[in-house]
Amino acid sequence: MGRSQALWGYAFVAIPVLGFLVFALGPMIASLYLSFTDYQVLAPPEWVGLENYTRLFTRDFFIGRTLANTVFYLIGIPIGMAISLLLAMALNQKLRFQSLFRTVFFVPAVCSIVAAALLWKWIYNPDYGLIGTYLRMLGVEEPPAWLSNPRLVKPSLVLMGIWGGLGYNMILFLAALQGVPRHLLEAASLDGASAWQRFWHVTLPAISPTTFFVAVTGVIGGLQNFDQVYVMTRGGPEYGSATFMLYLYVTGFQYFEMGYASAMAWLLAALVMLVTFLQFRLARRWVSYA
Amino acid sequence: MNTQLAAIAALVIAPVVTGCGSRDKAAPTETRTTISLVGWGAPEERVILRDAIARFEQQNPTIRVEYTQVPGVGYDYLNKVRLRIVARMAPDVFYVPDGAFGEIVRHGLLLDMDTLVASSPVIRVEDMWPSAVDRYRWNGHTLHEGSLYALPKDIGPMALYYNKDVLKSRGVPPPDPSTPMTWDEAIAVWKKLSFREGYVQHYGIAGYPYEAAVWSAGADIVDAERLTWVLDSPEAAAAVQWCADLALRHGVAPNPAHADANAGELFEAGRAAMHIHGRWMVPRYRKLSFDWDVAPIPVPRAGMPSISASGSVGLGISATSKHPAEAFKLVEYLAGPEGQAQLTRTGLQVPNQRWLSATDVFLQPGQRPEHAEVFLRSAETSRPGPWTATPNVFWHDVFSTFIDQVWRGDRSAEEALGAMAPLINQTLRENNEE
Repeated sequence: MGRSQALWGYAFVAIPVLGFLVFALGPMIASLYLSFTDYQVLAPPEWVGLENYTRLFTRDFFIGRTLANTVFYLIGIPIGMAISLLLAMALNQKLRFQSLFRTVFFVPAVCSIVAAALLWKWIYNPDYGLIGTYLRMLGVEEPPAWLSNPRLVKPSLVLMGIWGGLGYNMILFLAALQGVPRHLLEAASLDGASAWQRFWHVTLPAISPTTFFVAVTGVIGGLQNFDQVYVMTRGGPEYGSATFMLYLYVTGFQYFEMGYASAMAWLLAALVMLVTFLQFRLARRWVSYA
Repeated sequence: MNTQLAAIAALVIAPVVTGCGSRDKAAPTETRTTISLVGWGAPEERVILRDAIARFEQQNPTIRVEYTQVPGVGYDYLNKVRLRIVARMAPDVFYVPDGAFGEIVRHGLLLDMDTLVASSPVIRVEDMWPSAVDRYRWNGHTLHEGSLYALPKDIGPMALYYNKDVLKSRGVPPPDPSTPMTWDEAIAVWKKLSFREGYVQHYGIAGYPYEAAVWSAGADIVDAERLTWVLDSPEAAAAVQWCADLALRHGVAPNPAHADANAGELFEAGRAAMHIHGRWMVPRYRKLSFDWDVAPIPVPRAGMPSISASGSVGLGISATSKHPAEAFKLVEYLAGPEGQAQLTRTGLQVPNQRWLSATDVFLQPGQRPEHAEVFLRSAETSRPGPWTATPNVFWHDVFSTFIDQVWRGDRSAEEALGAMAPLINQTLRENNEE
């Protein structure tokens, strides 16, 4: 019995593993090799040793600028998490039109990011956009050009990013909230705990594995932020909104400096691994799998 | 192997056939060499190119041309060509836009045409616009110098397009077709043409290319060695500031930093009386409902030459082509007088030969623009755009992004250009080192 079942098990596991080996591991190793070469696609790669990496760390203005932008966008993650948790708690109550609200908030998660980005591009348009029009009605003569002002572009994109991530995180929190043990909440209120105390000492620890998951995946996704910026601003104005991933894309797929772009990709991978490792270390202090 | 067999078969059959005296039956189809041609363009260009190829095949019965027109200009086209090159299926002959020439030639992907051109009975480089030809030269480390690696299919000089109807209604006489306006004269004219009609702002000018201002003022963008960006010189900065002031100080132009101000659309909508653009807009503008013409691009002071950027597409032969001789025959035909005469019919381009440009083939009397010769004078002094200066032009992207500070009026041109110089020079060098 055990043997044939185990074989079936391996067979099922083999499919994704093979997929990983063929479509992910191969290209990954290739890109590691390419990161030590000068490779411009049209001609075979030429070994240059650590040249790409020294350039990356010492001579490239855009690395620092785009990394700083990428980190700035991470601000949206805690804000987005807080709002989606609030929404999830509201929708966890017995409400009228409960499923309608759940659907409304989940729509952005189903929506293609490109479509959503185009939509927001119009919302932010200073001449015809929704926000600009309302501001004009309120008497603002010249509403700001949200996406072409170097100071406003990042906060504007963060706002859109929060909106885009709400639905998905809300569903996760909703599921977690429904798993909070009732008896603990009841026991707490019998002991005279206020609503806030129940939330802080019972609910929050009970959903901490979900909070951790949302934080980890959010930060990983945030460090690879690309499509939204690509569609809405192409990194402008003055590279003020360009993320590291966007710069990598431009280097690799617009100027075909594939070797250098590979080195950038490995820097980003190392960064993602480091941040995730730190998060797991910190998690020991606040995540409880009771 | 097939071609070898065919060649042997031809050798065996040929005497027999001639022996029978029926020459026209010497089936050339079997000995024909197929070469591929890849390019892009508008649908009407496709028809014209097909015609040209048919005539070429008539004159060269041993060559068959397989023509592919890639839809979409620029990035899409280049990606398709890159893909074919990497897959070792490089087309024998393909369009090489001047901006991508550096990247392609640097990797040794184009055939050196110098000897072929020198022995060609059709191509006379001396007849061609020097700035059109020289942008396809490469000496192994610098562009615009050395051997020819492509021949220009065309040259696309710029001119000042103007809306005759608007000028008439505002009582402004049309600009002189032979003497360029000075900057002061131009601003006076544009002020008369800028007005508000309800919510709609009308502009005197839209889209002033900064290169035209800088070069006409005698300054430069990159130095002669193409290793240093020199737009931060005081003369160049003054010219860039002048461009910015059109919107900031004089209010005669839309601000280029604002996303909604697409200069070409404003001109087509009749909201900008004048507009600087390339020859390639002519087929499109011929369909406009208002009357228009062209004039020379203004100059800083009377007597100075008007210098602007011109575009061009080259015809290159793949270095790995198995039939370089046949491929060159096709290039020779398309870049030669006969092919050029046909390609010019669309109105899209100026022929690469000067003498042909001065004939009705290009001037096309009876069709707009009335003063088509403006383009010829522009071609004479035009230079290849700054984006052809180096194989990698990321530095130009950097410039285009940061220059918005000046267009918005946040900083003066002098200050902003000085501040961006180290970054642009580093980007230029870093990406173009051997």
